[in-house]
Amino acid sequence: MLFPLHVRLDGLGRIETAGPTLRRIFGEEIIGQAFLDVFTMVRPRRIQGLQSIWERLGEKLVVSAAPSGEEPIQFRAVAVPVDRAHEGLLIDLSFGIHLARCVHRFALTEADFKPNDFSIDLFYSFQTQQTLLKDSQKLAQALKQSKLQAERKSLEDSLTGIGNRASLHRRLEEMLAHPDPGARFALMHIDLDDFKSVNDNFGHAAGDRVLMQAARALQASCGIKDMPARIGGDEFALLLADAPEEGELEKLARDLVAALSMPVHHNDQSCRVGASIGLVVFQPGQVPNADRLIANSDIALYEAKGQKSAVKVLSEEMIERHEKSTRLVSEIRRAVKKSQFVPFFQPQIDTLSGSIRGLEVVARWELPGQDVLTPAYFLEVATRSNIMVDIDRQVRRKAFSQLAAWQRQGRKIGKLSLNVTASNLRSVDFVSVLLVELAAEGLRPSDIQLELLESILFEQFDHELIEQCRTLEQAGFTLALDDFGTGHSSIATLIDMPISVLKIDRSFVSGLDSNAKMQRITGAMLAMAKNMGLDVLAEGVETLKELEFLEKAGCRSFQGFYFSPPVNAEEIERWLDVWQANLCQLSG
Amino acid sequence: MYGMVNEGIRTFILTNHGAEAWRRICARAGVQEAEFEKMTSYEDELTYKLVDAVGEFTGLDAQDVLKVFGKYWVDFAGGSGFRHLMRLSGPTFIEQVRGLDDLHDRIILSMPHLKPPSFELEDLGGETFLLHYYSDRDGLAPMVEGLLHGIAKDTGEEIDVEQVAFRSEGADHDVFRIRLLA
Ligand code: HEM
Repeated sequence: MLFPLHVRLDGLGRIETAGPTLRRIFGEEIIGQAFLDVFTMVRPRRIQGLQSIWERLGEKLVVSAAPSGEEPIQFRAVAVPVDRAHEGLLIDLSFGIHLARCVHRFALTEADFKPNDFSIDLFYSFQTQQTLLKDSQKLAQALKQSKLQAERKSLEDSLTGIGNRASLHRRLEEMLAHPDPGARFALMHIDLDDFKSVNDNFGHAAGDRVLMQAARALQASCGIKDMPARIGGDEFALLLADAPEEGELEKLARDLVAALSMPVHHNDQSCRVGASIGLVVFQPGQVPNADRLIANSDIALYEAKGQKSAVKVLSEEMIERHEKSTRLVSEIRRAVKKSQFVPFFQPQIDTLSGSIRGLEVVARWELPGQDVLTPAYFLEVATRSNIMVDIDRQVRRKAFSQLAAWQRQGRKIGKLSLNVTASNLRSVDFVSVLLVELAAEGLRPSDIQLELLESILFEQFDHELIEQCRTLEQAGFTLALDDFGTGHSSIATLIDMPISVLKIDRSFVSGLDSNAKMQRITGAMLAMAKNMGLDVLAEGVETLKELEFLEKAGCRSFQGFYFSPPVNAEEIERWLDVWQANLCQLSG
Repeated sequence: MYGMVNEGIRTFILTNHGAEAWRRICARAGVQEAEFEKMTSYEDELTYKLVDAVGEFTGLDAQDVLKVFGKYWVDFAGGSGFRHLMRLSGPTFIEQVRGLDDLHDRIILSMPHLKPPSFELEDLGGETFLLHYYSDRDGLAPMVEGLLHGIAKDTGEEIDVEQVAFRSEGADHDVFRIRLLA
């Protein structure tokens, strides 16, 4: 059939004949009905009546009809006059956008299309493609899903669900590339204070709880453009897209500190941390990259942490200070490599017998051809950047080797006194390292006195540390308590401690000669220590008067500038020679 | 709407604001998907939520977001391999606008669930036209304005568009007056 979808209209617009496919779709009753009763014009949209079809002969029309009152179908149509007299019309239809629906609904076959119409072929080809497409879609969906999951994982902190360092980094780079150079952003670098003690005292579950609560607190102070992130163990960041002016920003940060310091409840227990915040305000393009920004906020945070629960806004001075200390760190590292750290020795003397009890070892940085620097110059920076361990080791080994040499020369210099830090004590292999180093020089633990600060034992009251002290004592080391009297301990609390020497802090010694109250306190302290069988050594003795008073009060061991400042090995040898000579003269 | 529309929004944000911005917008819109299958049909609701979240993010109201996005769409859809479909109607602005229904009809063949808009252009003479816009959806008229500017940008013409009838204000459908500028 040439036109299976045609209708032929008479002069009144009634359907005279219709193609076989149309008759199948609409039934034979379509014949005789007015075309515009069966079909409605869809396009052109606002035309009505037969006349308007006559006005659009040969143009593309869209009509629609609802066979058997069911879902409407759209047809494409074109009208041409049947005869010269222009009375009848032939309207040829084709399936329009509803082709797919019709193929199934009316079980269309090739015979329902004009012989030269390729649509049914195209349709089946499309269908095949659609099926294949669906398969690929399924695969694509699955791949996308896993890609998304992987991406989410890589950009999300798994514990708290907020962003992680990588996503903060990405967002910072976006902000730095922001097209509006006037935009103002702020980065808060947040560190929880005392978080470790929550983990230690309440367990990791409680620690996690604290972290999650912190994340919630950050989220609560975020707008859509802002971003909270957890960028390390107990380190967070908050990125603000529209930074308010500085005063308000600082207030925001302080409010955040308050929110982060709220108690956290876990298993009927309540724990609490604090928070310090370093703040940086920046504009697009102002800083070269996100790493620099995070480093800058870290500088401000470092200053804030110095004060605990503080908020610090980054300043030029902070950057300068930081750069200075970075320079110092690399100088120190170089100095360690070049072995420029050396032991200085300060004698500890038993004035009753005139003998040398020992030498305290202190670290010095010997710059070739320049001054000798005391720890005041490098201790803080070296401790913060974990170089102090290396310096201590360098100084200690040199001191041990010097002691061994003196012993070989037959010099009697007593014990070497070394200062020990809390982190030394915490390190599990500290004892064995000491023993190995001593053995390497042919020395014994009994040659060494270890001095620890009162604060290590009492303020932190850490059982593990005290255990470690016992181990050291059992290994044969003598333990001395340094700076005694400056902390909260009293002599009575020392009963159970593995301590055999008390070093009385200089603050009790200086001015003793003129202050009667101090004299009484120091006197009582000495008497009690004696009763408990503790050895007492007074440090920081500078004047003869101080010495005489302490001797009168029963003290016999001293250290201080009155005798000698800390000096290098050569000088201490000379000093020892002179001391020995004087002693011989006195006794001779 | 088909995922292609949401993908358009996503690409727009990625290009202009970056990947983290998009993540934050999705989070705000409560949308799990961070990417969309162009040929899969999604709830209209999702697209509206995205538009709102983009508005919140960029500080624009939803209408302006739609305008900007409409203008961007022509580039995006054209770049997605559909440009030849647009070109079928002819090279000029007017031909393209007249061909919009055919364009969406052709798209229906590959996106059978499409609920396309319908347009009709009325020539008022003097390079002035009325464009009638019919849609099953609400609130997208501002996008049409953007789209028209997008087409004009594509064909290298300049136009002036003003909406003169508003369905939101009770009119039967939205109508735009378009003037071709020399
Ligand atoms: C090749 C280019 C284009 C493609 C591929 C395309 C495709 C689409 C798609 C997929 C939709 C979503 C509808 C649904 O999923 O139900 C849509 C909607 C829409 N399109 Fe297009 N489109 C194109 C160009 C245009 C242009 C140039 C205009 C200019 C006015 C336009 C006007 C619209 C409007 C207004 C809607 C919203 C639907 C509604 O009003 O209900 N499109 N289009």
